[in-house]
Amino acid sequence: MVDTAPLTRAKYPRSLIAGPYGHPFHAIAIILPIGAWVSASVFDVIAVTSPDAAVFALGARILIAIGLLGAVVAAVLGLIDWSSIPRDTPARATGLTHMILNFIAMAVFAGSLALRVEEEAVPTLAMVASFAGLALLSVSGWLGGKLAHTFGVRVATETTQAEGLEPLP
Amino acid sequence: MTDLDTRPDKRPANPLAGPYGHPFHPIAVTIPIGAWIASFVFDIIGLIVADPTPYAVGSRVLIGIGLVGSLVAIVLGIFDYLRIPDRTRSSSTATIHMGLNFVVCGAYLFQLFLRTSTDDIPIAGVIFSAVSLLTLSASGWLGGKLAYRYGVRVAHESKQAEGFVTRRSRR
Repeated sequence: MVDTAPLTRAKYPRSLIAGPYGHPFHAIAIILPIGAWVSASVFDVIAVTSPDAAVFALGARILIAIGLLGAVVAAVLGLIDWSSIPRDTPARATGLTHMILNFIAMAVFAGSLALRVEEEAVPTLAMVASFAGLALLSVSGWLGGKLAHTFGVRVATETTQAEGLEPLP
Repeated sequence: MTDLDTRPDKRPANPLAGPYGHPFHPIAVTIPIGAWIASFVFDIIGLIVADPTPYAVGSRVLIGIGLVGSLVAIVLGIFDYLRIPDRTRSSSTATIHMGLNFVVCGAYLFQLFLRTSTDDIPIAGVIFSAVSLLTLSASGWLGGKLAYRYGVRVAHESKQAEGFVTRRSRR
């Protein structure tokens, strides 16, 4: 017999801050840091290839900072969802790995920002650090996608999902 | 396979849409949404600081990054849309989600023509961006509803259960 109680527990929000049932806010919050950090690396590449390096070097610094602010919000919301996953399960372990990789990625981007003391250009080491941050983020994001789309964390039950397949009048 | 008949929307239309339990559309949407929010932040900074040039240039490039990313997201979104059974709440939600997103993409494309100057941030552009982001919030909410409430491209609960095998029951 399969015990569905642990699975069901992970489908409900622990707090309304985490978003209503069937609408997790963590999935929304992660969009800004990922989009801002990917854009920051695009700006880095433009900065080293264009004559207008200073403009894009400044833009990349702002984008990394926007990403860091967004990541703090995402981390809080992620922690709330993680706390409702029952202990001793593969989903809990996947969530822990996802969280640790994201904390490392945040530290790497903070380091990348700290390296950008020069106003006029992007230091090579800072650019490499950002790429490393994105590589970490790809792995952690894959695990986050696995939690939602394979393990169904914060996804409504199939009974609720059936609403979606009701025929229209 | 029986569940292929009842919930075709849980499986990918093709390998490009991402494997079962790993849709690529939610990954792709992070670029346009994140870049366009950042573009709006650049606009606000550009309106406040003495020298708006780097922010005017940056904001325009971010709109461009968002447009390129949205093309990928649109293609992947259409793949998932094709799997949703017709004439259901889920399919009508997806149709509205797609329609709103096309309007937003069109508005950002139009904005590139508003933002030809590198010396200032056009107010019309800022207003366009604000309205576009509000529209994107509505369409994004519907996209979240499709995934997290209607379970489109989410694995079946029989598969989800693999994540919740406790050490006790494994023994």
